[in-house]
Amino acid sequence: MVRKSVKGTLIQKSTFREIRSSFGRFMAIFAIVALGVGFFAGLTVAKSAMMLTVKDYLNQHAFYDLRLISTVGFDRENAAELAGEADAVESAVSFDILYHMGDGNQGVVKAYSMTQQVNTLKLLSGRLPQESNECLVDSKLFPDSAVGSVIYLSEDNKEEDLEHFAFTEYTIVGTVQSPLYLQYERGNTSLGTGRLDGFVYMPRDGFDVEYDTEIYVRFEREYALYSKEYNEFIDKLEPQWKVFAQQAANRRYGRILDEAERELADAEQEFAEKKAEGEAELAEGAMTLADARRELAEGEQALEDAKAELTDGERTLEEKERELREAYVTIAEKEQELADAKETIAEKEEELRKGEEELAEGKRQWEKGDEALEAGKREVAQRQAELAEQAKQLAEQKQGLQAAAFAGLISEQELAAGLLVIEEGERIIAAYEVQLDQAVLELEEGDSQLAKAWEEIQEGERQLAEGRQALADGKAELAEGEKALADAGTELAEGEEAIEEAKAELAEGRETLREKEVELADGKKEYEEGEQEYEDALKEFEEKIGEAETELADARDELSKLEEPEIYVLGRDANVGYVCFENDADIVAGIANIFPLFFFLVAALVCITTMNRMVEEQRTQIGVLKALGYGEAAIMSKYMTYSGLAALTGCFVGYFVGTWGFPKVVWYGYGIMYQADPIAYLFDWKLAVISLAVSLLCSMGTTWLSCRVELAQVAAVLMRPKAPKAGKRVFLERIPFLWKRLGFLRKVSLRNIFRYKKRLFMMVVGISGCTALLVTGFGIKDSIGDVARMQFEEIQTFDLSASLQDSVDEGMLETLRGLEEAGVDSFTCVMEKNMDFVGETAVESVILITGTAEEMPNFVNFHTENGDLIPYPELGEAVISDKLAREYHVRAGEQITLRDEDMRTFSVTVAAVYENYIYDYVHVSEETWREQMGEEPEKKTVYFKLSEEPFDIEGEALAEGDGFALKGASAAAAHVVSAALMQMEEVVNVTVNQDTMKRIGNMMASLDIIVAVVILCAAGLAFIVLYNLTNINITERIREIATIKVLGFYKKETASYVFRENLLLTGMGTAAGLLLGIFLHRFVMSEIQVDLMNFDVYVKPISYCYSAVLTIIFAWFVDKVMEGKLERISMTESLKSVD
Amino acid sequence: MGSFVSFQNVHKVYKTGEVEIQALHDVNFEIEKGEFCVIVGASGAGKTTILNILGGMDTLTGGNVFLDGQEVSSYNKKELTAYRRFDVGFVFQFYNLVQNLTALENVELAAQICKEPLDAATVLKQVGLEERANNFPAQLSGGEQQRVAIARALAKNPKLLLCDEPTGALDYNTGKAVLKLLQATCRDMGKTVIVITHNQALTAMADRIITVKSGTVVSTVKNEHIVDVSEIEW
Repeated sequence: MVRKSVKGTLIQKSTFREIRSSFGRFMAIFAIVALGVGFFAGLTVAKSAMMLTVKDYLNQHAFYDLRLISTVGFDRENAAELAGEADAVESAVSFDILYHMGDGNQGVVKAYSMTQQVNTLKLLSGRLPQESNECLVDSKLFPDSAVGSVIYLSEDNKEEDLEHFAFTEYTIVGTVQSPLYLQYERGNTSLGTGRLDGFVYMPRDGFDVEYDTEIYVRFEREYALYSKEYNEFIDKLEPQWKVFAQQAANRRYGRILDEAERELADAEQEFAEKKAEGEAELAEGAMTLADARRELAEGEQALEDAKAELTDGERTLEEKERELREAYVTIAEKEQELADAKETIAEKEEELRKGEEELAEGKRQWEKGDEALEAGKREVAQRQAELAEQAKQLAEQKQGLQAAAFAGLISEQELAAGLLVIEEGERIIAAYEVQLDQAVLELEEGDSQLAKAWEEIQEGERQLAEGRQALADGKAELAEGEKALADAGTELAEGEEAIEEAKAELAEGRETLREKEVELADGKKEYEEGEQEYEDALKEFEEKIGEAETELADARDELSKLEEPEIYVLGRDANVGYVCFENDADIVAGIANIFPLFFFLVAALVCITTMNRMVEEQRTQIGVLKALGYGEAAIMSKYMTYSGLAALTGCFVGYFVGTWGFPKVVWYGYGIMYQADPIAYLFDWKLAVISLAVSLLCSMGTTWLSCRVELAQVAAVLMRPKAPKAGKRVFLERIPFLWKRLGFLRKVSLRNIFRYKKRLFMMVVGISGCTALLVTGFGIKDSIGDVARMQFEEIQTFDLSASLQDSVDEGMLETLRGLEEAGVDSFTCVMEKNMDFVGETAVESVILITGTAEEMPNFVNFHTENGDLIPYPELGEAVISDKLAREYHVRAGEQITLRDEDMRTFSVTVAAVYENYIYDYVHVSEETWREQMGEEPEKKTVYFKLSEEPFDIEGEALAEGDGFALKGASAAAAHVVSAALMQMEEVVNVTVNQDTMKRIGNMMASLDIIVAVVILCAAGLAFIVLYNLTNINITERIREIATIKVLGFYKKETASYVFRENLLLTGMGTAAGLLLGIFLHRFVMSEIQVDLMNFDVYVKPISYCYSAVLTIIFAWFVDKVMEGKLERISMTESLKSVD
Repeated sequence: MGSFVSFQNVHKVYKTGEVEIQALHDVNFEIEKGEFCVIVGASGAGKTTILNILGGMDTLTGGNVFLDGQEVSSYNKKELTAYRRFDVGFVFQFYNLVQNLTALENVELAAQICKEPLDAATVLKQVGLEERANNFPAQLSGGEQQRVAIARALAKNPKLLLCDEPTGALDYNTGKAVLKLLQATCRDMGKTVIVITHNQALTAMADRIITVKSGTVVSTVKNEHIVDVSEIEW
């Protein structure tokens, strides 16, 4: 075991072998020194590197030293006149303007003219403008992809604002960062939301103003940033430049005044001329109008006449028509008569024909009758003859019978019967004879009748002849009548034709009349129009004259009111970015002060225990060397070399890694807020020397201390084994109740812990440091990361806000009420006004909000830090945000004063201070504003609260029972309302709180990297401390552990026997660390204060859990690594003698 | 193979880098149950290696080792640990007491991990240290510490008591007292006790004397003339 070294070089050899054989120990010193130096040098150099970077950046971009502004601006030649007074003097023009990108969402930018010698830009993408309608834009506001698109000046701009610009749209040709805007804060404006969204640079020709608004002055001096020397230098120059500025302003003022007076005179003259001209024109007009009126009257008369004529013609025509109609009737009658006559003639002819026929028939019958009569006469004659025959026969028969009867030939009876038949025959002949007599009579009558008929026939024939004569006469007459009728028809047709012609003529006349009427109406209308025109012209003339008179009066008034110009000479300390950067860089320095101290403390502890142990371990060797005659210095040199080498390499690695990495990480974090160049690497040799000195002091100093104690002893003592440190009873043993319950292993652990006080201390310090770092790391995240959520969920409980173009009126209210359909639950109109809070030492921009006690608490939850509700402020009172109160030490009951851009003041009593995280707010009631300012608040902002129904994009209600409902309205619902609002002309801008929340959340996400670094450092610290201590613990107790193993302890039992101490110490360290963490976190948070935000210094319970669990995991990990080492301990160690 | 302890052709080669050191070769011996055996040899003869192997602290390169019919040489790491835990009691030259535990606690430390431990206080009483039970090792003399160590080994109620130079760090009288205690343990409690020493004088009190030389057993002798401890001189 004893390594014999004979010479100094051999001592060195021994040293290097020692390093190789106990590399873990060497590494422990190396690592803790590297960590300490890295942290210290890295954080310390971070501020310097940031300062250097910003200084270089500002120099490179020729950041101004003085900025001159005047209320009247400057003439463009002024800068050139002053050029000799400084290294660079250049004037520029800048105006705020509302813009949009064609999507309706408006914003406000400050447009600057590009300067060549001061405030030069850093082009991030695109190119510089070549045309006057091209521009460069703020890289924070526009992504690189905006290059090539067009930025429009909004139509909502006031005419006087738009007049400053040569164009209304500019093509974006590049994105830039400007040294004027080192920080993200873009400043306030009187336009739009009152907050500038960014800046735009354009060529001077892009503006249409003949004067410049400001003059920038730059001195090429190599003063350190924010140095006293610089401030003194500038302070000395200021009065001189005030004079320059005043002179320039006065010159311009004089010129403006002259010009204005001349202009006014011109205007007055022009006015008179224009008035006379107008009046003459009007007179002419009136005359023309009178002529027209006369012409119109004449036309009307002519028309009346024509109308009368036409009416007569119409009447005549009607008469003629009636006549014609009558003639027609007559002709028809005649025709009827003629037809009747014809019919009668036909009838007569028929009659005549019938008479002739009858006559002929009569003659024939007469002849027939004559014949029949002749035949009858012959028949009668025959019959008479026949009868006479028969009567003779009968008479013969009678005689014959009578003869026979006499003769008695025949009976009497037969005689009687025969006589009877003869009698009968005689009677019949008698009857016939009578009949014949009758027929002879009749025949005689027939003769007479025939004679008579003959006479009649003769008569008939005579009559027929007469009728024939009459018929012929009638026919002749008829022919005559027909001819007369035909003549009449022809006449009638002619008459009709004439009437038709007359009608056509009449219609034509009517048409003409109508045309004339239309013409007349047109003429009348024309006349009326002319009259209207004349009246309008008259009115306009009067109005214009009135206006012109008012304008003239105003101009005269203005001219008389034109004040002497005021000038301001502003230094860099008026630039927000420049000022804030100093404060924020100090934060880093603040952190740099506390953390490394802590690390160096741990480093010293690690070195002291490690080297102590090493020297103790090698005490025999030291004794031998001493006995061999080596001097103290030679012996000590081994250990000094060992620790010195570890520290040196650690310091080297730590310094370079730290000074390279930390500023980078910090700068990355600051990238959220600042825009400059990438951080420069800064080698600070002073810091390097300090780091080296401190690390060597920590390592070699402690080594020297350890060695000195041992070396003071004589060789003989050293060579004897050192009595093991006696076991001691710990205080717990005085509580037998507890002590008895503990197993031996626990007892051993407890006793061990208290046996080695140094180690206990170091372990607790190291572990608690680790835990505290973790708590701080997580706490930073909790405190900062939650700000947005707290602000928009707990305090500003409205879901979105809209900015209106004008103060809200009744019509707008009605429109807004209509939004209920879209999901708006309630809304309130407020005035949000950027004002300056006038504190004792400084002035700060705050937002004043007016509202009413009925509505406001619905949209902003006023509560104290403890969560107690705060009532809405009464008349003359205000509720202010807590950061403002804290920064300016304002308490409830005190008076505060605010100032607006016109320097009007507004004073209120603070009623209460409410919890608020983002921006500074002062809430007052509308009455308070009215009473103090004597005007209505300009309520241009509307807060909206959406209905709280769970709602998703599809518009379906969320499934019940999934135990999850979004708090408040969803982003989708908010965007629906937002879109509806954007479509309204009166709405200038809409902010959805959830979007803001998300944006801030994203911003804060970059803090994660800082938290990660802290966690990594904590892990490193924990690992080094635990590894080192466990290492020492094991080497120190190697025999004990070997014995335990020999006794038959299983692997796990052995490990727990050793590591229980570690776990116990880790537990103690963690507990102490949690406590320490609270303070460390508070301290760090007090160092990190961002202007706009008020961090909630708060660590979530879960973060404590994380910190504790992580520490324990680190410890567990170390134990796992060390278990291997434990396993490798040979049991034969137990057989060895005590060193 | 009726013997309680049996070494058969045991070989042990240590390798350090490229150097091979043959620590043991062809070691054969047997020890009966209840015997008080002394393994004697000069420094470097290989007796510690035998102890390591028998004590389950080291493995062998060749051969077989049996204890009470079990082949120790075939045990794996865990089984070896169990073997040490339950079957073997150790007494070290430098006592190896846990400094942070009192005498009684040191005994209990061993007792608590065994299956059938003896009562710690009783064992301590047996070794004559009942009054020193609550003292820390640093407060005890060397002999007292070694007695605590023996008590610790006995409390485990092992099959075998292995003692590595038990008197090596002790003065003459104390050493004798300790040896007496070991012999009494063997006789009264019927434990098999193996003492490893370089001290030839101790062989007189042994039932069996195993002499080791240059890595092998040169003789195994059953002692016919057992001398009482008090009569041994060195």
